[in-house]
Amino acid sequence: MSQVKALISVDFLNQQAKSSSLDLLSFALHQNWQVCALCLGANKEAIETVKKQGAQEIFFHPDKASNPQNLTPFVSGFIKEQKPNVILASSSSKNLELFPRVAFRLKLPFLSDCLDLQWQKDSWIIEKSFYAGKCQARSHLNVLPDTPPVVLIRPHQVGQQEAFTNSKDSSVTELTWNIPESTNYKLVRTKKTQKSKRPELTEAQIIISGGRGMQSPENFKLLEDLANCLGPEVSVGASRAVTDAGWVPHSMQVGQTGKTVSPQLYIACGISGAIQHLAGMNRSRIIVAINNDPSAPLFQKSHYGLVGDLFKIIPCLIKELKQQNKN
Amino acid sequence: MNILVCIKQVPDTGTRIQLLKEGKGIDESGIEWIINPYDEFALEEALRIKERIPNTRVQVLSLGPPRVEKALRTALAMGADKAVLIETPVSPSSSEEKPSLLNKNPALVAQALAQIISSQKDFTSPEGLKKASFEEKKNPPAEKIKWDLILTGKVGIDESHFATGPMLAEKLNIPHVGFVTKLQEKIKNIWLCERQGEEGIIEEITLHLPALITVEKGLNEPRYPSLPGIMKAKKKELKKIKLSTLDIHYDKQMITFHSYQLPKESPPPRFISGSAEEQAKKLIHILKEKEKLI
Repeated sequence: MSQVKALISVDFLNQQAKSSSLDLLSFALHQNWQVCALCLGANKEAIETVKKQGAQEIFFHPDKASNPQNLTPFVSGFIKEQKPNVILASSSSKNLELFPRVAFRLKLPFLSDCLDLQWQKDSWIIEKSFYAGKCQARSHLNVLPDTPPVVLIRPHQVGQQEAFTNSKDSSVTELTWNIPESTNYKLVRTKKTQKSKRPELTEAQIIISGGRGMQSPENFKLLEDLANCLGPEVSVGASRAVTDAGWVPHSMQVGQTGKTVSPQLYIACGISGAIQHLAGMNRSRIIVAINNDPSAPLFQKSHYGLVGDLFKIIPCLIKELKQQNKN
Repeated sequence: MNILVCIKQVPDTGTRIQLLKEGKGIDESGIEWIINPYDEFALEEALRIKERIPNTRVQVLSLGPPRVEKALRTALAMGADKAVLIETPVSPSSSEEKPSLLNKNPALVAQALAQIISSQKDFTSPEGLKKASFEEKKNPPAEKIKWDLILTGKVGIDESHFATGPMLAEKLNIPHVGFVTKLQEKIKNIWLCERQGEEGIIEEITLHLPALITVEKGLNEPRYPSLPGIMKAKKKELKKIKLSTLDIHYDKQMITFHSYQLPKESPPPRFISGSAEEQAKKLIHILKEKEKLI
């Protein structure tokens, strides 16, 4: 086969391409694959970043139908037309609703929570995480004609390279899909929770996580303060012990029955490190543990360990960061 | 109404995963098996609906080797009315054989579940339900069950596909909503689903039944089976259907895995000592200058 053609579905939030999707574009372009970007729910301005990233072909549709059932036939038809060798998207909840349906409809192999993929001698080698990260395994897929695999990749696993600069102009096409209104499914309204504007745990570059050592729900404010000092790409997580105790919402839980995360930096505060928790965060690039118990198992999984009172250490971290931000 | 809950039996969350020789798969010997926690939320929700809405029947459906019967008995003890197991051959466990192909392929599981779902016959009265297997032979009822709601977990914590629910909905040609954290009936056959969207937004979706819903943690606190529940469960119907009797297409969707690996052992941590202030300063220096992360 000549050049690999990758169809990449790009996620948008507030008309901005998400960094996890831009990672996929840069990954594919660095492999010298031909990239066709499918931008659903994006307007003409929003696709500018996708252009800059270097995708050769861009297809966009301003309306991302909320009902995956109605969107499935359109996306399936688009894949059949484009004949890519692989369909890539990030393992976001929206993609996890849409792409299993698409893959099933087209009878394509489907893999989610993947960590890596390589093209080697006309077959795909795909690395997938199992047991929320307690182990991983590899699949060799011999590519048959018209059966590209649908591969959903965990955010921040591939393509952390700088943007790929394409010398040629991208071709941009607006899709004229007439997605019917759903009668059986309606997104009625969305309401804001009090939660501040932070990225999804699975997408965050930096995560500050708290465990039982935080002692009370009120003390999570301290972690919020630390997160604020570190910038907008920072999220606050928690261990199962504290979400089960109702200190913070379940949506903040990191671990096997919560979110599987792999940020660049994971700071665990007062988390002892139960096996379920380790499974959910062990692929973080740098792990820092702060705990007053030197025998906490999390220290053995971390790169940097601070043994001591987190109620003293975290305020010092905040103070130091504030000072540096000022300068 | 008729509610179907699809459950999977998975290793307990506390399990330390051990691999077979040469990374051929997971060593299943010594594993403690539980109902997938997300499927347990789905089952609990079905039982709560049954308690609220008269004439609701809850059936559980699972696919797997004979050991899965235990998970279904637990579901019956919690309060489900009937259980069906699509039985696969005994898992090769610690032997050298290839682990079951079906295990890694949600598309095949969805096909098998869909076949059972669309073929089951209805027994309208509660007595009929009890005598189901007897009457089925004598006097097969003509009507197929009209499933109103299919509930399952958002993901199996073992293989993390997130796919069986949506694929099953696609096969049955019904809508589905994923990651639901709150569920209530507005009027007959119209349900309101809530879920966490991005940036702290909560999405509300109205859904007309029949439909499939996958559930997220936070929906409810599952009950424990009661002693009377356990006694009753022994008399409830648990039907087994051999997978080999179903018509499944093992075609292009099939995926196999090899080279299983445990996470790399991390090098010993570097401990940062000193007073709290010194520790903080040193850490920030490292994260900034050495790791270039902040």
